[in-house]
Amino acid sequence: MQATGKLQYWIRHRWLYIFLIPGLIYLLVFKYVPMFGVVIAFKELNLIRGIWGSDWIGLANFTTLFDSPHFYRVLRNSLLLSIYQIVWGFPAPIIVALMLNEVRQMAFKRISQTILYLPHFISWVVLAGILINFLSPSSGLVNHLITSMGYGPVRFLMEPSYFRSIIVSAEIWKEVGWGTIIYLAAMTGIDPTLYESATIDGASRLQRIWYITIPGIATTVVILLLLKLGNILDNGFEQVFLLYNPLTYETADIFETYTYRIGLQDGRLSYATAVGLFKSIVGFVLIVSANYAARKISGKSIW
Amino acid sequence: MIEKGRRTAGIGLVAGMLVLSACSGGNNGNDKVGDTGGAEANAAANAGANGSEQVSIKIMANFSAADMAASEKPIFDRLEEELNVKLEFIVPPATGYKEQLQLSLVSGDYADLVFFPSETDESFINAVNDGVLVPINEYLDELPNIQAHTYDISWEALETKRDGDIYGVPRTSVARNDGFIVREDWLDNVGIEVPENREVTIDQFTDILRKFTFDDPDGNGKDDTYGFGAFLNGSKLIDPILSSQFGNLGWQKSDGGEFDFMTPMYDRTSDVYKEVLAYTQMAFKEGLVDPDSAVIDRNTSIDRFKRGISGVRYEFAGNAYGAEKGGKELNPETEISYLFIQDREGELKGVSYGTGTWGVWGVTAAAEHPQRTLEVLDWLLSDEGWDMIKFGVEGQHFNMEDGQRVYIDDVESPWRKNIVRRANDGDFFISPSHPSEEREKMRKWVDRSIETVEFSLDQGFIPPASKEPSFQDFKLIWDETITKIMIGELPVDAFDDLLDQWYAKGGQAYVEQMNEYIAGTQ
Amino acid sequence: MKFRKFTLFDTANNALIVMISLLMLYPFVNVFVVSISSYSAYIENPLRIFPKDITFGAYAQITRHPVLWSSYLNTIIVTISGVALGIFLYIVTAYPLSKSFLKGRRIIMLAIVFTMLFNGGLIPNYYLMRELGLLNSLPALVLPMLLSGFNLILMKTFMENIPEELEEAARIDGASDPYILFRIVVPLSLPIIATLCLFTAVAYWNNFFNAIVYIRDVDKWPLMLFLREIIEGAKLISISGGGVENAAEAGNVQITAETLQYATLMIVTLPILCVYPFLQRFFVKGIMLGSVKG
Repeated sequence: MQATGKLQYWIRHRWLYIFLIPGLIYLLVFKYVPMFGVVIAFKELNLIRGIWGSDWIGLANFTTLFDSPHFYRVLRNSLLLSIYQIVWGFPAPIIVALMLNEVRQMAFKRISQTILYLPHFISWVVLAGILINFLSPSSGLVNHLITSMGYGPVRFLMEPSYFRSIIVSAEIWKEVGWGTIIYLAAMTGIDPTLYESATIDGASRLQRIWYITIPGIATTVVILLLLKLGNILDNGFEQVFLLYNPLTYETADIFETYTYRIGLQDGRLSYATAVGLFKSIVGFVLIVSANYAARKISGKSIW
Repeated sequence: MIEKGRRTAGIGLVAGMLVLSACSGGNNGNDKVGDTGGAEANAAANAGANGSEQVSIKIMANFSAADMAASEKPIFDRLEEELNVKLEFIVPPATGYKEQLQLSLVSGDYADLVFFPSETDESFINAVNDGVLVPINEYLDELPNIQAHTYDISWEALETKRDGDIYGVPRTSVARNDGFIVREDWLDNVGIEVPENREVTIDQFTDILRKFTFDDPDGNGKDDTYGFGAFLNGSKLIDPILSSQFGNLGWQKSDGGEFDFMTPMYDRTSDVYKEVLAYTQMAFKEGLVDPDSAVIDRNTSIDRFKRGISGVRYEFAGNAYGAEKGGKELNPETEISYLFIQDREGELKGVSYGTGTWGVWGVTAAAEHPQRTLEVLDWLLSDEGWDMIKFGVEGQHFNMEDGQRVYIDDVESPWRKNIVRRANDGDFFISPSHPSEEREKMRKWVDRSIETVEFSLDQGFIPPASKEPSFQDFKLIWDETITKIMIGELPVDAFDDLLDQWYAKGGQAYVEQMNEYIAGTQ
Repeated sequence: MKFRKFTLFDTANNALIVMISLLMLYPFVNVFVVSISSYSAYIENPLRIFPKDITFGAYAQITRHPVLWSSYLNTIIVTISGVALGIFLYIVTAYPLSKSFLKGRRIIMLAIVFTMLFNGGLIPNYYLMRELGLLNSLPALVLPMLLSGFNLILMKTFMENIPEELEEAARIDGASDPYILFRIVVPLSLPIIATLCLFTAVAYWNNFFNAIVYIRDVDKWPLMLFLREIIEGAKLISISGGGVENAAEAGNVQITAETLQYATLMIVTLPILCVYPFLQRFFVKGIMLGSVKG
């Protein structure tokens, strides 16, 4: 009886499983097969003998990592920068998307949406150059304003205490418009009749946003937040690398810049792999537990 | 057939399908050398018109353009004909050279001749230690031009294992003691006269920086100029404004103390390096340095010099005319000249960075004809090759008029100037298309910077102690502290502390190993 | 259509959007203005928003560059095939995963999230490409980023919100799963398909890293690698492995002027900018429910 039930399930839903085949094969070949490369983290990579022929060194790379005084600073900086990115950078596109959603003039909405996403296409090299000029203590616009008000010039990019704020502001500047797209797409799924009946009930604009639009995109918000948590130790390399200098290392040195120096500059490939593996494990543990918590609390989750 | 078999085995090896023992790697190398001899003998037996069989040589290089420009093709055509070789260039994107180099080494798909960015670069050292690169000593006898035009110190720097084996041919760069380009029109405006030989004392130099900062050298009535324009180098560090002038000449015989050989930077008994730091700190604190210096890269610093924000830059003398031309586009008044700064004894000398190399050509174990591969570089350094490298090709880069080369504007040749150079030929770096009186002027400065160069005794040796993780990690603390001292956020005495920590983090072993090495070379 | 009053709320909201837009417009305007100004005008004021000594010389120079056009073609090929294959994969993979009754759903989702966090790194991926014989070929630019877990989760989430009743009705009429997916679910998923088209198209258009790793020949370069070479290539060459600048060597390498860099940036970005306005018509509120009720 049970066996036939199972068989019936498979026959009935065979297509669903057939649909899954190409995607799963893809993941297996292009994502899981290369994953065996993480063994580099436990080996001393020798160029001639290749990955498999190199000698095992066990957990030596991880001991080095946890013994390094830099590790704790890098960890703290990465986490703090991520928290800034989540606290300021995460809500920004939601707010802008809500604002755009309230625009009644279609042409205005479309044009402003298009303008908002322009900075996404300007590479960090160019944007960083613009920022350095903007914030220049001698010739920058910002300091012209400050000095014209009678204060001394501020050396923005040389003060560790400003670094996170500058990076997060720059990221919002570059990505906020791009980030709205996903929420605007989610908002298209909201039933328009909800707004109509709310209007009849006399709800204000802000009430309609609060009680209809925000719950309508809540799933998307939760999922994006969960994914961001999984990448909590990824802050983005280029913007930090282009804007930091020895004076701001104290707050600016993050995992990406650390891995860049040890991997590409010092050529310690297995150590760099070990650092990457550490980041992945942290991210995975976080995303699994956060997903569990989100499912229990809100009923919304990735899986 | 045998070759094919070996190649397949090689692929299998790097694909990670086979686990080979350490000794077989060594044997492989020996086999190669022996085989090559045989191949050469064979080739000689089948000798063609010019004495050898045509061979194909694969070269992996880092150029700013992926394709050879049509203008420089005649050089390589001539080379191929002369040496009866077929050159096959692999030129990865410049922004991805390091990645492709690393991957080609790890995967075993390397060319016969491979360019490495520096002899101290980890990819080069790993390639030597892991047996990817072969020693070239035995071929050098037959390479007279390479021998004739390479600094001795470069060969020593390329004895990567310090056992007499040389692991590459340097892309030689002129070793010199650079001075500073300076706004001559500003000097006139603030009423400073510089002697004919362009040499000034440290105090006179400071005076120039001060007047450039405070005496409105551009006469626009605004306090918007600075004396010195510095920048963050490729390691994100500011170079000290003056260094050798205070007696910092790298590793030298010490006048006593714990070690026989010492460099001021690591010398706890001398104040020389602290004076180097103190000078730069003074300049920053007094506001003589463009305050953007700690944030911008070299190119931006050049732009700001052209813009008239800073009036003095550390620069190769051969670039002076280019800077003047660029500056004149913004401000026709711009005149650029050159300055050398004497040390406190009134002498002019300084260390060249590095070892007269600007990258290395390594011959890999994949090369079947190492000798003929190296002959490619040798030919480019011969009188015929060098003439084309240095001056370009008649009809392509210039036309002869009355026995003078008249250069054609805007002919790009991204390859020819980035393969080899002759030692001490500073003239190479002065564009032959500049007006001849300007070239003459710059050549004098360049020659002066070449004749006043001193070499540090370390000869590019990297003590094994520097590979310790704690030592490598400490570099960041070092960079931070030094920068903070120079910019004035920390007192100069913070350097004492830093140095103590450095010795504790492996510096002691570093200095000991360096001493052992230098003693062995003396 | 009901007439709505233009309230204070609208005024404030629109004014704020205009302000934000101006801020976002600035870098683009700056880049454009520099690209049509003279180089000395750039050095004089790098932040300018008004052109000076207007010239199209930079555009003339860059459009003569042979690599520009071959890389344009490569990027178009890679982007179109990546989007077409990717969207198909997203649709067929996300649909079963959006069914809560599907056995093994959780473990598959977990396996997908796993791939978003763990990867083998450069070397094993390079080995894989070599074993597949894809090195130095355009498929090496398409395949590595064909299926992103992020996009898949977005599509799956969207599909989960499609009312089950419509599918049930069709199923009762004897429709098969492929029919339901492509005739009912896909039309209802147009907003998310449009979004993913945009995301994948932009991701392919902007990617240069795969080319840095897998491509050797210049005739297979994508556009963004070309741009990167123009902007950063010469600078990198002038710095040695040790990180010090050798001024003689740096003077030997021709660094591209910013005017030329920015003109290249404009030329390589314009086509992809046009994708969004084109897709915007799919972002119309209530598409789905309208059709459910219709």
